[in-house]
Amino acid sequence: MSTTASDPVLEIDRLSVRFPVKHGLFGLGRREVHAVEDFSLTIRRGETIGIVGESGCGKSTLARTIMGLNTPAAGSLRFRPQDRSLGPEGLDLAKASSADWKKVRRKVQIVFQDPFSSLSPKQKVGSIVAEPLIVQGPSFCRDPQARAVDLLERVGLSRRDFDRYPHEFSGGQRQRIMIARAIALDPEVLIADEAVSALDVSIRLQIITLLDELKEVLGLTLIFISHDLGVVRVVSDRIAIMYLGRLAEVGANREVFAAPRHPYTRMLLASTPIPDPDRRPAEAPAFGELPSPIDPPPGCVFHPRCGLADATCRQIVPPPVEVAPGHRARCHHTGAAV
Amino acid sequence: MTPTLHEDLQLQVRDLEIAVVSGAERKPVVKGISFDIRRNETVCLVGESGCGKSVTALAVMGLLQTPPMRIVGGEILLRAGEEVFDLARLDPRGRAFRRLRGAAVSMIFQEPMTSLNPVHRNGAQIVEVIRRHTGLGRRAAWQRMLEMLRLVGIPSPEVRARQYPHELSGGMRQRVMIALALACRPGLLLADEPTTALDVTTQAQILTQIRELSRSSRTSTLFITHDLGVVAQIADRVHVMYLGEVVESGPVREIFHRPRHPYTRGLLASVPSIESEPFSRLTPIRGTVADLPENPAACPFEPRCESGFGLCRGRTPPLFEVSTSHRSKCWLEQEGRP
Repeated sequence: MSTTASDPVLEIDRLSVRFPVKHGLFGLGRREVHAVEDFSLTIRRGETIGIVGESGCGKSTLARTIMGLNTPAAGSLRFRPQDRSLGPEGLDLAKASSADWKKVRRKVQIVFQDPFSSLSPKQKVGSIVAEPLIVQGPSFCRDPQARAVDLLERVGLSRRDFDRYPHEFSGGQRQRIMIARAIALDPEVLIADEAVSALDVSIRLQIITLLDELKEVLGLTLIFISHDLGVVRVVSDRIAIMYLGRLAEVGANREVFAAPRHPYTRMLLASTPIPDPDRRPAEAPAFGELPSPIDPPPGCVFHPRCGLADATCRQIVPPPVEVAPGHRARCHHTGAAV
Repeated sequence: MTPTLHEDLQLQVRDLEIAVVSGAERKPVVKGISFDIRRNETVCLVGESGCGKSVTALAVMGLLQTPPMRIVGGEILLRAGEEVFDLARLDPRGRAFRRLRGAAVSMIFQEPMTSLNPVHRNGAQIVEVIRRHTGLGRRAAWQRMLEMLRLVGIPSPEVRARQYPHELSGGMRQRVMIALALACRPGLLLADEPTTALDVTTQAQILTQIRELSRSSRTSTLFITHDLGVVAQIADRVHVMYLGEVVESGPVREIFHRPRHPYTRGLLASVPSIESEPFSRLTPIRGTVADLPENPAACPFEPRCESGFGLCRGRTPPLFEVSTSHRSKCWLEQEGRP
């Protein structure tokens, strides 16, 4: 990989995103869900970063916040932190005005999980893909129709698909349409939020391969969000593991899989089924249940499910510990023998 | 004439054909599949969406949506105590079937929230099934229900039994479903993607639970999934389905270590696992299930097959015997082929 830490495209610094929830009698009580909490991660230009975690861990909230669809409660998201033309530290998406957003919105694009609900059933495929080009105006693209055909061909569809409607396509093909639309505006960052989770096994790998190829050809930075460790393993340069809105561990792909340092990472790895009947787990794992993000446990949020938890873990939030160059884990016991 | 079933077998499906019937038109969904399940055995039906695996299970359970779907041929022989029933000929709405459903054969589904009744307490739903099929009194049925909840690993069952389904997490709900399904000690459990909607750590626990419970309560299981990792963890024998047909069947180790059918091989080669090499170019199966051969008599997998030859375009292959326990529906198995 030609990426270097000195060329960040997005610096997420101590980001917190909270949502108010009603509770109690007539919903008069007000509390907060801590969807993302004290989350820091620097995303490098040209890399594929896999973000993994179970449902409710905040990975999709993180994606939506990067897209500007949620307003953070604290922290910053610095886009192109070294680009002085955007600001002293790039553009902080957490505080960006709508005029600022106009400059950068097309630079960050997303592909969602469900290609059935994210395409308008009344719009022809060609118009779906050409629409963002038309919105940008003739200075961006002189001939949106021709460019849309190019884009369709680039994602493995054809000229003939231009005048068809989404319902005529399978799930995998719809996801190709979504990808064509997402890359139409030459984005720098492409977020794939569970983009292959709803697809069949034989199609899943086709789409992963397509995203990986586009990343190389177009020089994209790919943020690949998934609950499936196997998928993330195959595509990512680096992997970030989230638990209950917090970053648990981040490091190079091989390192996180070969030498996981956070007990939650080890739990995820141990519970992912391996397609080999000779390697079945001997006994029922006792993993416990995910606590509520409204009422997260004090100290390390993972301590109620952790075999290593002690008094420190129950009281003090673990800081990120650099266990190896570029490999961080938020755990008090990163040195513990497995 | 009363149907007969070999004494080792719990279920035998013979030449089962299911079609969507509208007017004079018949669109086959399941095209004459045969398989059997021995006592205490777990058999997996694996395949992608639309291959007919769920429809097969629904037919066994008598829950096929009729109209438009109908069993148009074949037998489904089920053992219930000393008796054997041909479910294909039994009226799904009739008294005989109602007595079997929940007692001799029961089913768990992908989405536990839609299978549990939201306005009844968890415990009451299980008690109802027990009382209906066993004639136990209120108090004895309540005790049996608590015992079941404990067995499936629900902590403080007395409390959980008095709660409603929405008060439980997804994993807990699926445990309640399993308790409900196994409460009357059925000879056959049908499990249709029971862990697909769950997180991996919960999935690992539920899988081990199903395996242990069916072993201890001497239940045979028909397990339906698209996930080959799960198949490797749970199956004794496997049937791979493609477009309404079983294309390969055999013991789980044979299927994973010595797959014969090009579709099975393709599936195994395209599954990203946590042990795949990063950026390993796993090979996707080309095309989609919608790619049908031009000649309707040809092998249905031919348009996507890497090893097809002349014969494949002319005639659909029969199930060839690879060994006494292993079969593959592919011309490659024919002796003296070109």
